[in-house]
Amino acid sequence: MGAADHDDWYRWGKVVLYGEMVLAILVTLFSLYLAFTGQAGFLAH
Amino acid sequence: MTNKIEQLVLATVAFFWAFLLWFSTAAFSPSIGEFYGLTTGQLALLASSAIWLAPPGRVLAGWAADRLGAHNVFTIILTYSGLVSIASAYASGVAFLTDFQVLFIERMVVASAGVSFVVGIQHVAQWFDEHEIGTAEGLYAGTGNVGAGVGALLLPRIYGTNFSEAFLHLGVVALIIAAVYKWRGQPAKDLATAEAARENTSLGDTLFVWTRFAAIALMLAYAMSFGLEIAMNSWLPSYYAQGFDDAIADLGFTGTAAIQTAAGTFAAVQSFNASLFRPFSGYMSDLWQRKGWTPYPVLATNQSYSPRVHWLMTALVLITFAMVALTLAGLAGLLPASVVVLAVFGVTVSFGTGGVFAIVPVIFEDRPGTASGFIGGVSTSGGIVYPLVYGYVPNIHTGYAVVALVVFVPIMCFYVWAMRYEETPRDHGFGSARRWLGSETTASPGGDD
Repeated sequence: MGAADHDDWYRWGKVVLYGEMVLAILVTLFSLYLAFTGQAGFLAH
Repeated sequence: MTNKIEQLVLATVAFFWAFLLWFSTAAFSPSIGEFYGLTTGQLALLASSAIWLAPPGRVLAGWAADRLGAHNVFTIILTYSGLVSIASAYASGVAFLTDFQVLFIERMVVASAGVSFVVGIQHVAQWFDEHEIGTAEGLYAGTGNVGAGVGALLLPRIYGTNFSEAFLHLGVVALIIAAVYKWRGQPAKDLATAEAARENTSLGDTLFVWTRFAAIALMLAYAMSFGLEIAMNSWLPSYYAQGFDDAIADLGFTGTAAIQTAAGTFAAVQSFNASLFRPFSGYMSDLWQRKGWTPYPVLATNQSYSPRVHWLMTALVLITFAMVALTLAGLAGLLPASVVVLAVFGVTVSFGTGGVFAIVPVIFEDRPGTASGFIGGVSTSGGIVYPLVYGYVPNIHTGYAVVALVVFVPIMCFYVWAMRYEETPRDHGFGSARRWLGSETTASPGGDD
């Protein structure tokens, strides 16, 4: 079953899911940076 | 073709909002505690109450989705939880109940919006084809799950301590989404599919699903992933606050509030990764299926969905290793290592959650709601069990490895045993298909066979 069997939505679905992974990585790095530099309070308040 | 995207977006937005409703109480727990003068114990009770409703609620909601159509059930759930959320903005004591008791009951009802997870799973399963089901379910569930993290980060920043206004607004939007869902939602891609699900909702059908070894194995696999995810949500903040108190103090966090904040930030890493990588896991399941990858000799390889079973096996092994790694990082006393392991841990958990629900609609295509209700519901009790074990073992760091060895390894063995069958697994369980379903043939979706 090749990629051609998929509807157009599948391509956009992949874009969304890769976007979500990037978001997860950014949130992780951001929160760790804030925490390890002693600024985690910025996130909570 | 366009219509199924609309249904996916409807289900995803509705589930995102339901999750926001579920966790909106937790987001404001310090403000609520201050306003009502609550003890720590009362706050913990308020936070955990939501989980207790999930197992029976999800079982019922899944069955109802098959029976009444997902669009109807989702509308009902959002309507009552939206109305009660609005009411909770004005909570005041009635009869013998105090203000807080009324709020507690109302927020428990609102939190039950979380049972809608299985309704959306059923809805998506009724619309998407087998080769793309993993990605579709992953996008639905992963994007929806992130409502919890978004709520925790954004709600207190938008509303400050004014939780009443937040509950009012959340409830109003829930009612709007419910109206749109009722207006635009359709139960399945064709009448035959909807009818097949509707007809397979007898008690015998339910018992049939509950007694299949494959369903039990998937339920346990989900307890190993989603059950673990919600257990960690509630456990990790106190774990970091206690297990790494010196390291956190060295970073400059002193005082209860600052330590809680730092610990909560580390814990959020798990939550975001477990949610946002979930669609990727569904995609991987589709990919393994497309490529026909079946690396494990102990699992069956000749079923139409065998590669998906093998992908889930990979996820379960990775989760187990990640648990042991968390213990090792903790015993070594390395906070940065522990947090990095935790990020990886979140990703492996998402592989499990996404992997399970890439399989469920395929094996139980004629009973998607009932199967999702059982697998997604009963497994939630893991959220209650694991923290008890973590708290029971003498060293706070060793709990993860203990759970991995004592609970997860046996679950994986059962999974291997249940999924080893070369013929169709639905024939294997406590009692035969004929016993539960009678001699008549069961309805199956049109056009797929």
